[in-house]
Amino acid sequence: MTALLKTEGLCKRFGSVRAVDGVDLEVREGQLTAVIGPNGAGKTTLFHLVTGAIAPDAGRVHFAGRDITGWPPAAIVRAGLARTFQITSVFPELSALENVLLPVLAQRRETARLWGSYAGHPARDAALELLDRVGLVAQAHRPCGQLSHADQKLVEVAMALATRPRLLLLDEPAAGLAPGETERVIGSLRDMVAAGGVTVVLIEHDMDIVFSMADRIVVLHQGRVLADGTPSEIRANPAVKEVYLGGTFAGRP
Amino acid sequence: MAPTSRVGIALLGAAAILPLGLREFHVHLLTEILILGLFAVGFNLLFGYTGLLSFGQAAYFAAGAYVCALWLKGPWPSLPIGLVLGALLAGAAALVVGWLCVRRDEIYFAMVTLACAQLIYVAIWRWRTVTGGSDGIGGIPRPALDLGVAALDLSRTLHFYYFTLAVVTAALYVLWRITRSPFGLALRAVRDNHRRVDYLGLPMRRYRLAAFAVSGVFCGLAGALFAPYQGTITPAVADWLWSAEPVMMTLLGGPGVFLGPVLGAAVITLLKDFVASATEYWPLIVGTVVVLLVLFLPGGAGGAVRDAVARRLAAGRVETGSAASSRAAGLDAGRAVGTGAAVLDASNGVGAGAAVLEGSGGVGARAALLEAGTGVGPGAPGLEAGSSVGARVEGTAAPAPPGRRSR
Amino acid sequence: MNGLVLATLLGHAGHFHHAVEAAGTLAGSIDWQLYGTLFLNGLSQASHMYLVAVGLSLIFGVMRVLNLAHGALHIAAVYIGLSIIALLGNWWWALVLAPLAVAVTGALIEIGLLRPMYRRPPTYVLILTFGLVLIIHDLLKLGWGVDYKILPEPPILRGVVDVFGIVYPISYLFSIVVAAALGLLLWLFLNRTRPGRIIRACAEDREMAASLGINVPVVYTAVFTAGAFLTGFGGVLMGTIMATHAPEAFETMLYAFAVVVIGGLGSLGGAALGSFLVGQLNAFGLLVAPEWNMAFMFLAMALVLILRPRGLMGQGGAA
Repeated sequence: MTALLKTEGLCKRFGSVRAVDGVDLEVREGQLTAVIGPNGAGKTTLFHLVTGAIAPDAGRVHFAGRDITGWPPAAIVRAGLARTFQITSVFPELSALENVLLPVLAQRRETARLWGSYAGHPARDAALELLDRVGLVAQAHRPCGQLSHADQKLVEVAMALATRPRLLLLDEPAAGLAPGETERVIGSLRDMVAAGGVTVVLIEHDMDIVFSMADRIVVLHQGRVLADGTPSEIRANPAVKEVYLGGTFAGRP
Repeated sequence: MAPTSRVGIALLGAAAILPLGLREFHVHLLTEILILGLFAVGFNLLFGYTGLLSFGQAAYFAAGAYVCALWLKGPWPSLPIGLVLGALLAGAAALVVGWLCVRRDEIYFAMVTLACAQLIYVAIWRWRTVTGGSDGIGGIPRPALDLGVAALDLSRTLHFYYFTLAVVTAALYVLWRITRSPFGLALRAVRDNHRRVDYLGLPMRRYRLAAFAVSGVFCGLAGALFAPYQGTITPAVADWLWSAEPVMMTLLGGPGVFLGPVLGAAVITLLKDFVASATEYWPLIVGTVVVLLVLFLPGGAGGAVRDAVARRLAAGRVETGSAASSRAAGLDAGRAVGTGAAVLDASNGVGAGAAVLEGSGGVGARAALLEAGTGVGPGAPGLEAGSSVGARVEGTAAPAPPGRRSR
Repeated sequence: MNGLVLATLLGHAGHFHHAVEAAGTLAGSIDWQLYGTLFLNGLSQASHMYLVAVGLSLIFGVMRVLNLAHGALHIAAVYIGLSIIALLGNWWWALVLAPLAVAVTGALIEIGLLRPMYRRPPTYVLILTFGLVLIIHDLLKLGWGVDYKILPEPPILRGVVDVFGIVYPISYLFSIVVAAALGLLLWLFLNRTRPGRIIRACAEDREMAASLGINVPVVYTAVFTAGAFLTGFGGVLMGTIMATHAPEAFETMLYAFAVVVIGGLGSLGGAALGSFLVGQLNAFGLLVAPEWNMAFMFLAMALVLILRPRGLMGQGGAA
């Protein structure tokens, strides 16, 4: 199987800090890959580099057979690579439905239309369906800024899905959520992955989530790939244990 | 029918009937309110809908005004052609300037628009052979308009008023449709969280640029109407103080209500006419109003009315389970797609309640407008038609011409 | 004072050819004397603009507030100075008291109007300060009328001196020297004293400063007051050299803006560099296209905003 996403020697420095330092990564279609690593390992920077938010100092990014290095973010999204943000980022004054409707319209190349109502647009069906998938139809007409943190995270996932991505990068989808809410968000993600059609790369600190969901785990440490393998391989990897997981993880099954 | 359109039609009706009972001077003022209202709504497409504060919209107003004035003084004077040319060239100018401006946010954006507008201002001031320099262009005619069935004698105040009403109504309708279009949704998203838009596959800057150009077209159209309205056009309409006019009107009327800026334009124009006849210290009053508004009423008068009605409706909903509430409930249940008008109305971002409210806010606006419009009739001191209008443009703290005194 | 030199200095567009001729005659048609005069003119303009811009820049750097009323406060100092001279009969009192009066006004504005606005979008604060320009402008008109006013210079600053063969008025040189000295003092204050470091800490990171126990609102008030004082000081110096009237509240603001935008909002060195460049652009612009020098300035401002949005000496990346 060919790689959907491939990075070659990706580098980014901030001053004297090598945030990402020569990362070669391959993400295969249909898998759920988790990227883990201690704080400052370069996980989010890696996402920024892949999605065009910041330009790499060196290295290339290939997506679906194309070299997308240096593409503007919007073009990368339209090529089928979507993301969510570590710090939830929605449109607070638009309704949840409008938040999701916008990317649906964008995906259908309808947003350049100055005429015709967006509210009565056929794309509404698709947007409602996406909200349904994350269980938020009842909240469709509330301003997104008034929704709970967990609901906003779910709206963001629905927004990303609305762009019809082939690859979805999720940056800590469970960060800052209460335990019950985490269950709900992760449950939605599971259903989404099970429904198929989208490949997921996930940054997550919650090891239970990572090890229960991921097909494959990439461990980043100080901007480099420390380990890359199946959950059981990672679990057995002594370097990972030592550098990242330390003693706390060793005892877990 | 959506509440906003109902309000719009009611307003249009009022605007059509109103001048019949007014003296010529007040019809003249009403014309100015329409033109400046269009200017302010055009500005608000950027400010209220896209989240960009432009301190330089006077440049496009002036571009439209000068182009139209020159056309009307040319060999084939025709107002419709002058308007179209003025609006399009202003839009083209906005496209060029906007290409530079949309790279910046917030204060920096305001500053680049200001700098670029000042450039255009100096250009108008210095390019004497075409613009007449500080004297401007005088004697702009209002050629008669042959509509086939009837001819409009636009030199007559009333005829020109109805012509302006038709043009402004059409323009506002188009603007309103734009705010409701998929493009309009994209603009509101840019306003809400511009850094996020790119990650939905929308190149954010291009939407800002498009908004800037569209705003330029409508500000230009307002300017193109203003030239024959005044009969004289001077660089004062390109000055940055003229750019501040729609800012104040919009703040006063409420940037979150579509017709809010028109309300602001009405209040400011009438207040100005009233105050300017009593005192030359008009900017003092405007300045105070602006400071108080920003401090205490950032949603503007229109927003305040809307919020007040919102509260009352919310209370009513609890007690009686009014129509509004059942409609809102229907929306919340909203799985049933395309439930018609009610759903359409919900597009204003604050959900079902807001849609109803926006309409109500508009009703408030209309009431205020009517009140203001009629209140002035008997109250206004016996001014000569046009005198105070001219005085205002000349006299509102006109700054020293550039280069008159280099420092 | 030598009227011909004055014509050059004031650089009235209409007087331009006059001025060039005059300078030429005085200098015996030697170009460098003309250029020298223009250079000094540029410096003296820069000295006034610097005193306006440095406060504007400092306030923006620390408070993230772009104070559109800063030019109005500058002009206010001229009028207040005029009344002080009328009252106390001494220019030096005006130089001290007028800026103090403006500083008090600034403190009141900061505490009464800006403090409630800190959590609001910056565009609204911008609009509020615009309202203040209108108010101050009209209050000046109400108090002192619309005629051009000039402050009578003290005897010691009257007359001209010879600077390397260029005959130049003392009052202009005084303003250049004083502005330079103030700039140096300000730099020393911000870099070498504890309060100065606190202010810089606030400019760099508001939240961090607050978490370190710095009383941020007090710092804000102090900075705004100091900025008002500086612009007032510059106002008295400027008002002594050139006739001024209330509408220049607007024009001054535009110039100060161009200066800080070109130099870099929030940067002291930027304010100095920006003042220098705009001053020279104005002075030498007269030679190239006397009627378009304001256009040059805005063109420069637009270019800087587009190419180097943080200004020539500003830090950081895109705005």
